[in-house]
Amino acid sequence: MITSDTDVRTGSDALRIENLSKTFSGQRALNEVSFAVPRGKITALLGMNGSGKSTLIKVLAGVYQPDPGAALTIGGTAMPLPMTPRTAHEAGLRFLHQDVGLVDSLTIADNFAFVDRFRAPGTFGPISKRRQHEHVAATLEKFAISVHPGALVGSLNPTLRTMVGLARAFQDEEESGVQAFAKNIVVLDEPTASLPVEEVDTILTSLEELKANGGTVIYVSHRTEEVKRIADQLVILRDGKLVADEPIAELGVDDIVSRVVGKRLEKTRIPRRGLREGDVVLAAQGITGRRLRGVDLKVRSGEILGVAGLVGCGRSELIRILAGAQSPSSGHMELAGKSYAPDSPATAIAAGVSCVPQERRREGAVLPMSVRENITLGRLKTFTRNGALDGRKERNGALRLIEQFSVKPADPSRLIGLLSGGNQQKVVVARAAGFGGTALLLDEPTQGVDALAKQEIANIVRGLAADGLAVILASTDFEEFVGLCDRVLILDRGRLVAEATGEDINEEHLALLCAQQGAAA
Amino acid sequence: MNPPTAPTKTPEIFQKEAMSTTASSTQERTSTKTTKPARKRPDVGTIATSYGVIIFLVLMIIVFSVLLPDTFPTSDNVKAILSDQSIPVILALAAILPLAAGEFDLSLGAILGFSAITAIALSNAGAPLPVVILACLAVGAIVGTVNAILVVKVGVNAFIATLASATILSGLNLLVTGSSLLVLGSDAFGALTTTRVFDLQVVLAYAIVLSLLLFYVIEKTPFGRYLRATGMGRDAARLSGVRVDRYLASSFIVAGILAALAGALLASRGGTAAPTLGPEFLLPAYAAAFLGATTIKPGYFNVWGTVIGVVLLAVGSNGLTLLGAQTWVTNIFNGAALMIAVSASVLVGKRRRKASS
Repeated sequence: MITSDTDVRTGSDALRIENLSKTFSGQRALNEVSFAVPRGKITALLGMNGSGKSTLIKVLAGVYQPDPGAALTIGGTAMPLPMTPRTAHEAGLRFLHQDVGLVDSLTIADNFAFVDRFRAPGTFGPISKRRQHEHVAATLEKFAISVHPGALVGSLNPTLRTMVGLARAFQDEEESGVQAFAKNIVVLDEPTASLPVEEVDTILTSLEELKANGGTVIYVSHRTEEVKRIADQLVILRDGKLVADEPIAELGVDDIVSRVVGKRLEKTRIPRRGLREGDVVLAAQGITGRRLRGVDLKVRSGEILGVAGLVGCGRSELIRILAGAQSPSSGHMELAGKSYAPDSPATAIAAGVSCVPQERRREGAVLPMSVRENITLGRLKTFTRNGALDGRKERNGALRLIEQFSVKPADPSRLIGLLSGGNQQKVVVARAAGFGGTALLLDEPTQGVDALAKQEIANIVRGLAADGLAVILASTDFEEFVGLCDRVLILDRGRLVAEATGEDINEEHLALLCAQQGAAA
Repeated sequence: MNPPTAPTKTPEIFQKEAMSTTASSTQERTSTKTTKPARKRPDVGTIATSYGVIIFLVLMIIVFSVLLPDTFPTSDNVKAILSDQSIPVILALAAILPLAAGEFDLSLGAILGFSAITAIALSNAGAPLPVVILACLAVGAIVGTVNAILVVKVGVNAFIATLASATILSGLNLLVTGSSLLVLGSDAFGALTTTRVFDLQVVLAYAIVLSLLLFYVIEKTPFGRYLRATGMGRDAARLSGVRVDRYLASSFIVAGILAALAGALLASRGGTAAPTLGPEFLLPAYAAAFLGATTIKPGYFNVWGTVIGVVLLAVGSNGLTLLGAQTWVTNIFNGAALMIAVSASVLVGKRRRKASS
């Protein structure tokens, strides 16, 4: 009955996007995308990394300005473009990002209040805690969240946090109950990414209830199984283009995956290297941490081992533990047959294990320093004479590595921040792999790196493995593994669940392996 | 000029902005080399940011020399400035160690004060000179270690941790002095700083030696490089195998020792210690450090920039005093100099970043 009510008022589309393009310095992130989001339904938005999903959401949220020529209709009203965060909010758009966007040190009620407003008469009027709590409590009740509005968000478990974020996204100021649900359009960006599998059900159930109450949802996810379960409509982006806009009912998981991955036959396949049987360099047993739930792995000399998984699978934690940046809560590691329990990255590096961390700009490079200073960071002992730095020795050492890892421009005194992302990353790889060692850990090494540099980094890694280095490559971008890895482990919510070798290491199969895990669990 | 009321972010913001200046000027240099030979000469902005403080210092010296030909450019006045500024230089050098590692140490003034009071109290109690000096250095090392433990091990914000230890020390000052002025009884202790070498007080030699030593450590050793990496990109440094905790901790400890040394020298040179001695030295030290970070090597806390910062502030207040200005004028001068130097560096950095993008 609600649906019919809103039908009369606004038509059946809650949101309509027409001819949306977005160009970043010559690169088209979105290419003439048009689709509609039906009211009172759950629309899934799918796509690989770099497909343009996040760009689309950021255009809706008023973060990015779309290219001219686009049109956006919300609830039958043409929106002035570009959107601003304010017009988006006023039009009823609500965004729940992966990190939920709640402030841990505030109460639930306060977190609600600063999205809408404090229940006070005017900006300087007194805030009524009682009214605010009543309002929040009512909303929480609707979502079956049995927590007091005065509870600190930081004290909630991840699932409750997500639920609270969801409830906040659906609250509305003066309108109460069903009407508010019908008005708002909630955009959920991978809300279940970091939740344990047994908790995901709670979120999905509450989304289903929301829909039953007339709520409109845009659901962004990598988890095909979840999408299959709750979504009505499927919108898929690939390389910035719309490749599917259809009802989901008839599609199986395989159909969805193949639409997301697409047929990439035009891509040149890199010849696979033959798997070499070296000695086991690094072995881990029962590694458990905040996300990991008992991971066993072995990597041999000369082997490139992939660790694939979706966001939140624990891939970064695994790399951090192996690299000595984090201690496992339990588990045992061995390096070349000897017990290996690094208490810091420095210890790990001294033992021969170095890593290329995930966030290049924060964890990889020291941006205000030069290429030379970045390459030799942590390795200055090699470049001293009587305890003092030997400038010439350091410069020559840096030049040698710049050449070996083809960093461009080959200028050691240039600030690393002025290099392209790909070349910055080559510097970080040079530091990690250019000073010996037996194992190299790479976490999303080509994130934010252009296609050419991606290729170059892959070649570098291949060369390092050929020289006998044991390499672990962790990534959420399955394309990265193809033609590079000898073996790929699938990590899902902290557990290794599958392994792929040989011809099975292709994007489609890896995506399918990840998707199936959701189903199995 | 009142840094403590500002949020603790101040140094980072400043560093970031100042660094972007270096970033863009380097880009300018390299890009002209390779692609655009037309714009070879660095423009006024680059010169202004790199040498602005020095140019201003020279201009000031010229102006005061013209206005006060009989009192300002005299050898006696120059000697007085150099001797007077030796101890502030040492304290400012202490300040740049934690700053380079990305943290504030607000206890340095209090350490100086407590060390001076300890020195006079021990000396008057009959302790021999080496014992007095060692005791002072120990005081600095202990306070520095406490700061280091709070910041590195416990994880307290450095601003707050060092503010707390400064407050404790000011209480101890009152306790030790009984809230009255301490007067040094020993001539031998006084001779430590006031002995004349080449007609200058020997304390200047200490400042020069310490400057050279710190320059060597910060610019020429792995320690200095890692210290800066700790300040500029702590996560990246740690993951590259730099033991950032050690560098952070040692910056507080060495800074404490240097501040305590400055305090002992101050007691020796001044011969008295008021119960409230110390805090008034803190802000000029930071002002000099921040002025220093806009010059010589813009964006970096560096030794010679800091020394020039101290001299700039000293020349300004000396000249203004000789012109007959009241104390308030000097304070306004110090604050304005800092404000203008840092703002200019930030603004030029922004403009150049815009131009380069």
